[in-house]
Amino acid sequence: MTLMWQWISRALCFAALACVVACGPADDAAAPEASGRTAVVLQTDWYPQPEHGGFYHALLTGGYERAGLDVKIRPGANMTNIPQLVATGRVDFALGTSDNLLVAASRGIPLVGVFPHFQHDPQCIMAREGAGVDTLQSLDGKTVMMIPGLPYVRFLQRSLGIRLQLVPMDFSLTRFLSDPTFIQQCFVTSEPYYVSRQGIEPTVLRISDSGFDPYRLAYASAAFVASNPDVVSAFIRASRDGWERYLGGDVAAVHERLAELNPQQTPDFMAWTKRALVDYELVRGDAEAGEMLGRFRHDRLERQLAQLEALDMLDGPVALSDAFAVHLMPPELAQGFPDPLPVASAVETDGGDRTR
Amino acid sequence: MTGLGDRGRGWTGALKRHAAGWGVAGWPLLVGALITGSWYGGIVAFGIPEYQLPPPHRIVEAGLEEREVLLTGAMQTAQASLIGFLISVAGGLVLSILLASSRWAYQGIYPYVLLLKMTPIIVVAPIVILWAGQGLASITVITFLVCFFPIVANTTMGLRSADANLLDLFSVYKAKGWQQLLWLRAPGALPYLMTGLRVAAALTPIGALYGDTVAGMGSGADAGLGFVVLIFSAQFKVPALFAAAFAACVIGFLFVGFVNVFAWWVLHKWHDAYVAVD
Repeated sequence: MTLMWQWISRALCFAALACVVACGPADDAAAPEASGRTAVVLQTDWYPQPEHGGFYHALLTGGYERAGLDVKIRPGANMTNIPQLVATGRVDFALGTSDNLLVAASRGIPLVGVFPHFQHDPQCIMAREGAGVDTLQSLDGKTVMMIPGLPYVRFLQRSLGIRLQLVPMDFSLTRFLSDPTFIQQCFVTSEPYYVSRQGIEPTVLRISDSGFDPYRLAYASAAFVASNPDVVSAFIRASRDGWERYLGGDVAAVHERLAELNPQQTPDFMAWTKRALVDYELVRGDAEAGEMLGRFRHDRLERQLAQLEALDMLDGPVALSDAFAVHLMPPELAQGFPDPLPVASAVETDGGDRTR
Repeated sequence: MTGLGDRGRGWTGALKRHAAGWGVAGWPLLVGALITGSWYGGIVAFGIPEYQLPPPHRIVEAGLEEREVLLTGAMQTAQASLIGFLISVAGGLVLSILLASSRWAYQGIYPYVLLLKMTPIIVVAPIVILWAGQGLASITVITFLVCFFPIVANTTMGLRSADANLLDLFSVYKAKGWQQLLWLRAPGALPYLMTGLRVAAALTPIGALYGDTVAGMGSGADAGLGFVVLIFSAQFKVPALFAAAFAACVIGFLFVGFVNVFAWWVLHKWHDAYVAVD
């Protein structure tokens, strides 16, 4: 019997192996459609919501179309393997954070940040009044529901010298609403609204206040960027324009569509989120500090890299000029980077065209 | 299985014993080597990157690197598995006896046992956590829910399938209900129980690992294996993920192996399936 189990498990292992081998990397060069536009997929990190507003704006008002792109926005909640999907060419662009991008790059997952749609991370910890929490420091020894293993979880514990009892994130508010001492991670632009409508005023602590403040960004695989520089460049410009207009108040079409796609998004909720995006300067950042919609600052990225290094989260060296498509951005969006590299060197780093 | 029972004499016997030894160790080793070979071959031939399929030696390296986390994780998961398994066995036995004891109990209760079984654990888990709280208690309950049904189903079936002639014999001798249960139904149900235990043993680590990923708790280094998997996954540590998968395999093998030994110990003296082999 034991022997049979061995055989079965071996057979299963082999089947899994065969699957992985069979679905090798997809075609990297994006194919132009009959319309002359290039079809690309943008995989988001959540259900459709105003935090993706600028991308939807570019999609719905023809921004991407005018840029020669036929963009499909694919929502993706609770997915942990998005970077792998991008690296293997199953999606072209995805949304994530700069810290995870750097960690992935250090582990040999060749990803390139192309457009930061958030200058600051909206990630927060929210606590019920019964939890006795008023600062990040006071989280010491508490049980907190958050995604284990993420860099900021480790950063909080190391930099503040605190210890958290972690509970895996279930991406719901059920327990928060039912337990008056509950603490969990949240987006400053989202959950507090919902919770306060249930008559609960949560304490909201921003993780960026700890000094760990990654960009939220769109990224692509190094191979895709290398073989489709025009597509990436067009995506950056059209996305930036979409966000500019969305923040500028042209929200009607976007919010109408978001409500269709995600019925949880009521007009009032979306207006609240949009206001939070502006009030917290999440998208545009602080102009006085040299931040700007869509801009990567080299010094900030260097600092993030040093923080990750100190947390032992990097497996190998990461060159910022390789990890961000600065050579394809409008010059004002890449601040403080060493002189733009010739495009060729970026191509060589990933072995060029991997199409089969 | 090869013919271990055929104990010939002389050189033919020696050859046969040799062949039997080869069957136990040789074939698995050969297939293992083939798999490892095609694993490396596939990586080289298709240029598969490590984040998709790490080569075996990287998995071993990662396993050694993360050995403390993996070991504490495996211990935690094994503990939750064991508690969940034992509770399922105890609960399963009691319920089976109840179900087999009378027709109305069976007809009245069994549909609800089925209902519990049919409700997917993914749906039940959040409710379990609401009731039992985060941590070992919830993980144990989830493990219990996953592996208790095969025990109940098989054991009940066994208890209810006593030979009608023997039942008649017992009633002719005016045996009481408990005597009938203890001396007729229970021994006859043992092989069924063992089948239930085997199925449950294979399911147990799945329940405990899933329990970890939803009801686990820890600060990273002191959590169960499922929780460790979440961490590795969030950090894109793919070779370590594979190592965690093998650690989970080991727990499964230990459980199934232990149940097999137990089944042999209980049944080998009298049950046909075992007696015939020797």
